[in-house]
Amino acid sequence: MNSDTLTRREENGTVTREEKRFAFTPKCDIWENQNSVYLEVEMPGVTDQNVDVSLEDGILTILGRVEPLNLEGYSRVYAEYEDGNFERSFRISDEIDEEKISATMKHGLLRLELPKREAVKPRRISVTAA
Amino acid sequence: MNIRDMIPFNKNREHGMTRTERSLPPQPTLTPFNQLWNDMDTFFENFFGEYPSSRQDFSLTPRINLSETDNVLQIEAEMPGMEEKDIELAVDEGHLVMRGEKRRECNENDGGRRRIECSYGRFERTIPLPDYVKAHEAKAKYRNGVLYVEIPKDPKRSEGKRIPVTAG
Repeated sequence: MNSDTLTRREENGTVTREEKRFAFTPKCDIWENQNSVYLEVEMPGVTDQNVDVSLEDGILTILGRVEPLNLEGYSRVYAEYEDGNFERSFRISDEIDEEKISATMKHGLLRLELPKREAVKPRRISVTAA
Repeated sequence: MNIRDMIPFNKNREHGMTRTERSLPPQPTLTPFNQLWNDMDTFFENFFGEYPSSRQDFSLTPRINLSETDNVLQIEAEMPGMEEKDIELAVDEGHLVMRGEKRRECNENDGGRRRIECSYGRFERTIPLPDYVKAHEAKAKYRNGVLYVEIPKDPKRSEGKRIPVTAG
């Protein structure tokens, strides 16, 4: 768990700090092919509206806010996990084309595609007879 | 035989020391058991790297939370990244059975995973239900990677029966 404060970026660019609270480190798979690096981050309970992906100084930060489903009137009788936000940061290498990073969120799973720059992709150079 | 020789982990003992023990620098705070503990910790840290803890475990078995109102028992189970069709729920003799299969979307030919923390495959979890719920009226929905199961309580049965105690 991180004890850092969570920062939240508003539409107008200001950054507000939410109250200090714990954030869980989500599980993440990383793999790559010739064109892209992929990240899959497990954040159960997070909607596409409540996930925030930002990139600053080569650090990709993923923030997921969990809004517990209408638990008014419910009392918890047994718990194996706590409700809490998710936060995790990754340093992105130079070979990633930062402009083309895309993200989709489905069923609590955030999937990021980090395309590589054209310059670092392997290419075949055709040899012609001289 | 002196009784102190029979205590296996007496760090202050002077008799019966092996050569190895004697050649080790004194570590007054470490009992052999603590040392073993530390070694195991180091081993796991080296093996798994900076493994994010506390919300982690290797098991695929979904973790659950139980909540209730006067009328309903609610079970939440974390299972991110699944499809509804891959989740199977059944009620069987006072038990709720959750089964599912979590599939890996990436192609193994993509160049392989660099880092794997998520678990994949089939899982099953059986949760015993109290007998005051109407298990056959359970409803379930899958939302944002969490499965919510709501089971209505049977008001007649939840009252229980008071048994009078008499002198005898």
